[in-house]
Amino acid sequence: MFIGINWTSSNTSNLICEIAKNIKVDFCELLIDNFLLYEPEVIKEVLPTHKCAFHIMHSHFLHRDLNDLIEYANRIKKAANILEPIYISDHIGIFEHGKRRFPIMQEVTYDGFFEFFKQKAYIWSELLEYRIYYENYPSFEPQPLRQVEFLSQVQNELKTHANILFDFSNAIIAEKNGCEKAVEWKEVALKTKHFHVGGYEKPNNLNYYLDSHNQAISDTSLKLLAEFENILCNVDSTLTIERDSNLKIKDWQEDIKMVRGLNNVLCSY
Amino acid sequence: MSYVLINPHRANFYDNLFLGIPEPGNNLSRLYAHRFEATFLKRVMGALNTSEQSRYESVFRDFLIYAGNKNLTMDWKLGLYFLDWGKKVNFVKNIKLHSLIASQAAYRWVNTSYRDLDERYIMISDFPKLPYWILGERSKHPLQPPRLFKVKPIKNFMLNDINYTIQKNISVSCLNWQSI
Repeated sequence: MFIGINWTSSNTSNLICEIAKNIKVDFCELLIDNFLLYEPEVIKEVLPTHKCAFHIMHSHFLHRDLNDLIEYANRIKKAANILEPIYISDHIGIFEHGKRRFPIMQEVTYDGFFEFFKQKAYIWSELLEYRIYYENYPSFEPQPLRQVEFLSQVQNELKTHANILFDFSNAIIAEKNGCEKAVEWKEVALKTKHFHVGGYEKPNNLNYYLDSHNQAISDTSLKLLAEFENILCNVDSTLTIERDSNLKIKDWQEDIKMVRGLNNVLCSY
Repeated sequence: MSYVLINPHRANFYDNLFLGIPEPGNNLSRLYAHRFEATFLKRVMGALNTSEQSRYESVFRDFLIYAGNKNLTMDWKLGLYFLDWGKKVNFVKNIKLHSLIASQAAYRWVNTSYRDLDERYIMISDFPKLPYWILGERSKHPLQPPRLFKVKPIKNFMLNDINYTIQKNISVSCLNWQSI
C-alpha cells in the first residue's frame, strides 16, 4: 500500500517538503484546484515525492456551465499530462442554490438522482480522459436512499467512468451522525484501491461530527482500517492521511508512522 | 436534463440561512450557520481568535442578510462588498480595519487559481482618500507564496465602483513598494 499526505496549497509547501524529508511518504495528493495557477513543470520540480494524485474540490461539475467545465478540464489535463497522477478524485456535491454560493459543499439528495449524476459523470470523465474516483461524504443526516447504496450503484453501473475514493473517517462521521454504519461500506471499499483517512471532531456548540482534519486519526478509524485489512494489503492501494489545519509536523508524522505500522502488521506474510 | 438538486424543504431552509434567519430548535440550522459564518468571516477577515470572531459575528450576520437580499456573489469580492457596506453603516471607519479587509481580498484574489495566468496584479484602495493601495502579486512558484505590497498609486489610475482594478502590466517606476 502507498501512503500519502494531502498538499492543499502553496501555503503549506514548506511543511509538506519537511515531512517528506523526515519520514517515508509515497505520494502527495494535490488539491489540484489550488495548483492550476502554476505551470505543471514547476510543480513537478518541487514535488517532494515520486508520485502524486489529484483531488479536485471545485469542479462544480454537477452544475457548472459546459464551456467553463471544458476549460477547467483542459487545465487539469495539462497538469495531468506532465504529473501523471496515480488517480484523479472529485466530490459529488453542490455548491450553490439559486444564485447563492454555499460556504462549503453540500451533500446531494440521492433519491432519484442517479440518472442525472450518470449523465454528468460521463461528461466529466470524458472531458478529463480519466476515470474519476468520487469521495464519500461525511453525512450530517440520514436520507431515505442511503449514500452507501447510491455509491454502490455508481461503482456497479459506471465502471469505466467512475469509482469511489473511500474515506474511512467520513464513513465513521456519517455513522456517528445517525447514518449507515461504517462497516456497511466494506463491499464498496473492496471494489476500489484509493482511500482517505483523517481526524474529525464534534465542536462544543454543535450536535454533529465534522471532518475537521485537525486531529490525530481516531482509534475508531484505526479499528475500521484493521477490519478492512484485505483491502489495504493490496499492493496497488493508496491511503492519504489528511490534515488541513492544526498543522503540526510531529503530529502528522505520528499518524503516518501509526498507519504504516498497522499496515506492516496486518500485511506481513 | 435538469434535476432539482435540493428538495423543496431544503430549498426554503437554504434561503432562510442566506437571509440570516435561523430555524429555532433546528440543529442543522445551527450547524450550517456555524460553518457559513465562520467560513465567510474567515474569508473576509482572515484567521481570527475566538474572542475576535465573536465580536465580528453579529456584525457579519447583518452583512450577510444584506448580501443575501442583494444577491451578491460569495466569491473573492465578498470582502470588497463588506467594505462597501461597512463604510455605509459606519462599521468600517478606521484605516487598520479597512487595510486588513482590503489585504485579505487582494490575497484571496491572487491565490485563486482559475484566473488567467497572464493577469498578475490586483490593486485595492487601502483607505478612501489615502495615497496608498494594496497590491497583490500572484505566486509563480509553489514554494513562493503570493505577495502583498503597499504602494503609492500610479498617475491617472482609475478604480471601479468597489475600488479595485486588475492590471496585466504594472509600471514599476514611481512605485514605493512596502511589503505587508
